[in-house]
Amino acid sequence: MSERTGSRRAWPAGFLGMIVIVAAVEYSIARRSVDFVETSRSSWSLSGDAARTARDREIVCLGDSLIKHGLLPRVLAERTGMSTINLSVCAAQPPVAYYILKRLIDNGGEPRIAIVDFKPDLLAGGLRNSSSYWPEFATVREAIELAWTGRDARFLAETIVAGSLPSVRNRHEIAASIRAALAGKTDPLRSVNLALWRNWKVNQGAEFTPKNPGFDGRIGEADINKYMTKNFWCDKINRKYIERFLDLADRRGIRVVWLLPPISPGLQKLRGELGSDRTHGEFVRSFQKKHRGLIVFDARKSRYDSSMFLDPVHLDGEGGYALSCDVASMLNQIVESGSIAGAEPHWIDLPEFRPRPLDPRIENVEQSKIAVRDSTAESLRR
Amino acid sequence: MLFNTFHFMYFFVIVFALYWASSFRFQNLLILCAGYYFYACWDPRFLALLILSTAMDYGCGIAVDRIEEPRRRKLFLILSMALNLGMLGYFKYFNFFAESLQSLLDRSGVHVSIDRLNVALPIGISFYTFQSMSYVIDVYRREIKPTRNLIQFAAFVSFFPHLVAGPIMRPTTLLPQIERPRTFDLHQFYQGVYLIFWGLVKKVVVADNLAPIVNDLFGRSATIDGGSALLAVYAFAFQIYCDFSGYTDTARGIAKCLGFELALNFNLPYFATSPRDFWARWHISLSTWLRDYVYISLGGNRGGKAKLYRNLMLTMVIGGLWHGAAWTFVLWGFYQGLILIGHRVLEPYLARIRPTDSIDRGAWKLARIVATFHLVCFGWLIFRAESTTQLSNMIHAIVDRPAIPAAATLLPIAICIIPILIIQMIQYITRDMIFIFRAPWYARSVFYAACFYAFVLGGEFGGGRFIYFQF
Repeated sequence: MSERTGSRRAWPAGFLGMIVIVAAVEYSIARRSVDFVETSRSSWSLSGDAARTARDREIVCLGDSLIKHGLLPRVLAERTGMSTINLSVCAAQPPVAYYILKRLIDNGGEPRIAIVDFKPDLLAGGLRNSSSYWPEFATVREAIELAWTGRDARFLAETIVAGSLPSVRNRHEIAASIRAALAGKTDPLRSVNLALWRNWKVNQGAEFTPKNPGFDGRIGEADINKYMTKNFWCDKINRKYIERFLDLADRRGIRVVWLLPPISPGLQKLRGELGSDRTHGEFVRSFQKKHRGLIVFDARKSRYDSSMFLDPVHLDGEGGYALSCDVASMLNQIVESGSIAGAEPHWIDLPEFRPRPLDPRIENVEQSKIAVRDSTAESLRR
Repeated sequence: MLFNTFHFMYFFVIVFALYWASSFRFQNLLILCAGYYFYACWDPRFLALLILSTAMDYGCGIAVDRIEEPRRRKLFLILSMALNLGMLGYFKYFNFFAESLQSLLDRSGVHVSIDRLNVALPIGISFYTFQSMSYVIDVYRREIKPTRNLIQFAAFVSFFPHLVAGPIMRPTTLLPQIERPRTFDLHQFYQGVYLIFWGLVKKVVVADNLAPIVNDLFGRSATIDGGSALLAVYAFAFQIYCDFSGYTDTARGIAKCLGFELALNFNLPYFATSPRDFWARWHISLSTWLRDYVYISLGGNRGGKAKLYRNLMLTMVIGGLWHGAAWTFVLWGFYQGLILIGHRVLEPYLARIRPTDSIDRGAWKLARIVATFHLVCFGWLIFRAESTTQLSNMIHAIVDRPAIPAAATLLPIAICIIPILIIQMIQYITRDMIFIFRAPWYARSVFYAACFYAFVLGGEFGGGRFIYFQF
């Protein structure tokens, strides 16, 4: 058996041909992102893109899924009179909030208030914790900056490769879609994405969800492993980016409200008993020493009933509505008292939860699913 | 640092750029430094062993060449072998022999506690000790002149593409390449990139996808049906082939990018028509090493059939033991010796079958390929079994519980194996391992794109280690 030398070519035509084929396939995948992007990752690209165009918003909500489920821009806007957008993303760590705020400012945005949260269990992890999400969001420059700050060359390579090739970042979803097609089934990702994207649009970035009958408030071992850190801990890259975020806001005169959202009573009790709640509070206070204008809204002791939650940490639509109302009224008080422009630190405990009648104009995810189904059927009829 | 990681990608890109930007003298120094860094990434403590083996064999090589008196020459040869085999014995075989002795004593009713060593196996020790040792033996046999340049010799031993899992390069082929200046050859570079790519596809797409299936089936050896057991063996045959040949293809590709040619280590082994042919195609660098330094040293085929069979058996048992310190590897080596001897015995009778018709010739060849493949597969069953109980369970399942395997087991294995089999059939028929290089550009483009998407969508990126690293 030989490895005969072939004709000598100056140009690797086969390789170049491959590049063309791959480029065509990647383009086609990128155009069909609704079929392949995993739902929680799509929130990264939606918020990342919206940050470039939402320059007219006065209140911007940033952070992770607790804010996404917990703050409704429509409620905040109507009750404060300030235009609002929710640009939080699922599983976001502090660098995401920083880059979204930066993009907003770089594109001419001048928000007055930024409401932000940083979920404790996400603060404990480094960059790698969300490495599958970054390619949906980060520009090359941001990826370099992040990798440099985290001293993580692998992160840079992974983010740039997956960021440039949609097939790489959506590989599991594409493979699942192929498997489903081979089995003669339809992958449900498309319909779920369409519904969530619609909900994102009508709720301006928030995710408004109906009740989850499957959650009864009990905290199991799996929940503890998923949501609890026995000792509160913040990775150094997250600390650096919280600093950068607050510095940027300070420089631009944006008042930051650090929201500590409510979690289900069972989990809150466990956190209290373990002491991680106290250390988390001390961690937040440590930033107030340097950033005197930082306001903290603490809803951890607001006694939200477990029926207001989708799962141990995320509020459902009703809970989110109540929290939005309370946050809006607190913002109004601050604005009216004039301390919005002041430089005094504030730690404000949000009032106890009280149920409020839901605004029927707010569309929940189930309603979005029906609307999408109807519009698809309508377009098929046409 | 695995070839299938970004860490290696960064490392190689930097080495490649510096290498071709440097002068010849600096190139060898760079290869040496890169090799030591590559090795230290596994465990920096064991770098001392590599350096010790290099320094000792460099000195022994010069001594063996300079000294004329046969006894003193032999003394230095023995010193080199004692050091290399001593290192290998201490790290790889001490606990195995201690456990075996302990078990023997326990069974004999003698209760003595033999201490075990708490040491990790230095990665690649079986490869670089054999390579380094063969240098001194070749100098002793006056087959090569020793190199006076320590950097060049150290670069030969620690050449990173093949340092931890072969191919075991002979000083006669690799040293001259290190000693002479290299120039960048674009065609060689293209071939190198292709081999890296193809090797990674074999490893990440085929071997790493088959690994969990094989692990699951072998893990359920006591309960699975015969069809699934048989499938497990076939799947393992392709897993180990794609894992190891994927590694060597990548290693050869990397070497080509740096202007070196490493030996072809696999030549379509599952198309072998006899056990002897199989060993001429499987892990060629090890089998030729064992032939030249063990089998021939034992007397080879001189001294009658009984000695020939003894030498064959000893060589294969040593080969089995080289693969790992466990009785299943010894048994595997013994089995390989047995089928080689069996083939030698039957060879005169088989040679009488000479079909004249082309269809008959083809059918006879196919029958020999299928038979050899199954003989090899039985060897893989011994090789893969974690214990003799598992081995016996699998054999019982195949013999006692024959069944058609479930589609859920069959389909993923077939998806992994069939494309590789088709490519190998083309390679076999065209007698060309890189036939794709002679295909029209558009066919190559489609093939590369298909491999790319198999890699992206079907690849297992859990950082699976190569099987042969443990040897």
